[in-house]
Amino acid sequence: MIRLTLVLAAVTFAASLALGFVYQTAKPKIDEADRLKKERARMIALPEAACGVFVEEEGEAMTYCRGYRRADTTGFAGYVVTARGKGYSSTIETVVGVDPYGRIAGLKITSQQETPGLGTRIEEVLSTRTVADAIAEMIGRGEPEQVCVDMETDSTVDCVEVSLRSGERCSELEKAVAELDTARVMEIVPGAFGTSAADSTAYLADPASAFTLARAVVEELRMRNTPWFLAQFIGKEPADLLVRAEETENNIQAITGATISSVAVTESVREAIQDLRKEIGGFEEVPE
Amino acid sequence: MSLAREFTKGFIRENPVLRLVLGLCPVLAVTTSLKNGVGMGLAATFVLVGSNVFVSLIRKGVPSRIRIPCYIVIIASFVTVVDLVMAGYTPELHKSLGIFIPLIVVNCIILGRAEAFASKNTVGRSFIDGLGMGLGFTFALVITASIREIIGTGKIWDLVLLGEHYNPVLIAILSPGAFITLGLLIGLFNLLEQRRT
Repeated sequence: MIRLTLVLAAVTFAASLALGFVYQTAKPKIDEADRLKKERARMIALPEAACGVFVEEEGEAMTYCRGYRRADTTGFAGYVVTARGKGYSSTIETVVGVDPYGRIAGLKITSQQETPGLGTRIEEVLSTRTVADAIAEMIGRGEPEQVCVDMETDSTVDCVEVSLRSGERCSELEKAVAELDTARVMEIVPGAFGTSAADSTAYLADPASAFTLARAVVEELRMRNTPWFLAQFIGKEPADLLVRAEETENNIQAITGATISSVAVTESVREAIQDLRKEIGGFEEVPE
Repeated sequence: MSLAREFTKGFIRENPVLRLVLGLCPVLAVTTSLKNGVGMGLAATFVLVGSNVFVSLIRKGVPSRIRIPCYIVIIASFVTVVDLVMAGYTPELHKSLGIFIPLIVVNCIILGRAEAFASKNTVGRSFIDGLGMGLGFTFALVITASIREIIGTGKIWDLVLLGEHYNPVLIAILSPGAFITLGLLIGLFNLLEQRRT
């Protein structure tokens, strides 16, 4: 019996040593990958600050980020918090962007281990679509929509997020709008000003309102291309978040969000924003 | 058996997936794209080679009564190494393969080769056996994934193969497509084997 114990102990000890060494070697890379994932989620959650900077704040009860439009921490764009809710089989972690007035600017589900299948792909379904449309497309019916593919990660993301990922491209867009360079704007944000150059020139005829218009178009594009499940949250206050059932023509009841528990996401997002409100002492009043 | 035959047996004659019908869970689950297939195949090959070599190394010192727990510890260690390395160096592939990386621990091929081959053979032969079986497993994954990706998306490894006008048969990359493709491939390999003998 002692020999059996010693042999088994020796094997497990050797395995532990080897794993410890591998963990030490891989840890910096894993941490770096996690940091990039977090950074990317913040940019998606608070696109206004995507070209600026996020500053992490250690509050009394929670950690949150302040997002700024410019790298010199000017132009406050809002906050980013992490919400965690219990789903059907895992904790669903969502990064939420909140504008200075307490409205949801965007969100990104960063971690979930729900049942694999159609439901977990709900993040990839574009806005203005329903679960029924998505299922119809997945089984081969319905018109497939254009999906932009992130060149680096191969995951489905929206056009604007891809276009504005780097500060350099963001500055280019700002410059192009200021110079009324329609072709360049359309190159950076495909389809930003309609489908023809004539449309775009008409849109940009007034230099004073050009950039405001560009921002509106970018926002519209972002909404149009934000995955459907996530788009439902944008622009809403915590009290507006409701889970509802959708009834299709075939009387099939599809719960919003499918396999990813809508209740877990909405309640955790609501709680996270309420906690943030307490932490920062309230949001700004929406200007008239 | 010669070393060359030991190496090549895993490709066709004793292919773990297409002839022995082992380790089907990852084959069905991850072969939606060629990238996933290659990633899973290479991960399993690494675990298979490593565990075969170590099981062979300790085979004379491990009492028979605790051999299976020892094999499991060795296999689980190699799987954890793969998991950590993938999480650090290929995070997207790691995310894509998800739970199926840790599940390599319970892959019948790995424990099967440790018990049936490595525990009775030299380190050199066990290495060759692990490599051959691992590459045979990868070969099966690559064929299945290629067929499913081409039919289901019209692309292979992000390259458009069937043109923009091709209407993808999405069922190929859904679960039924995995069963249909694998069933047809197993039938084809059986037919080839029957003709050969």
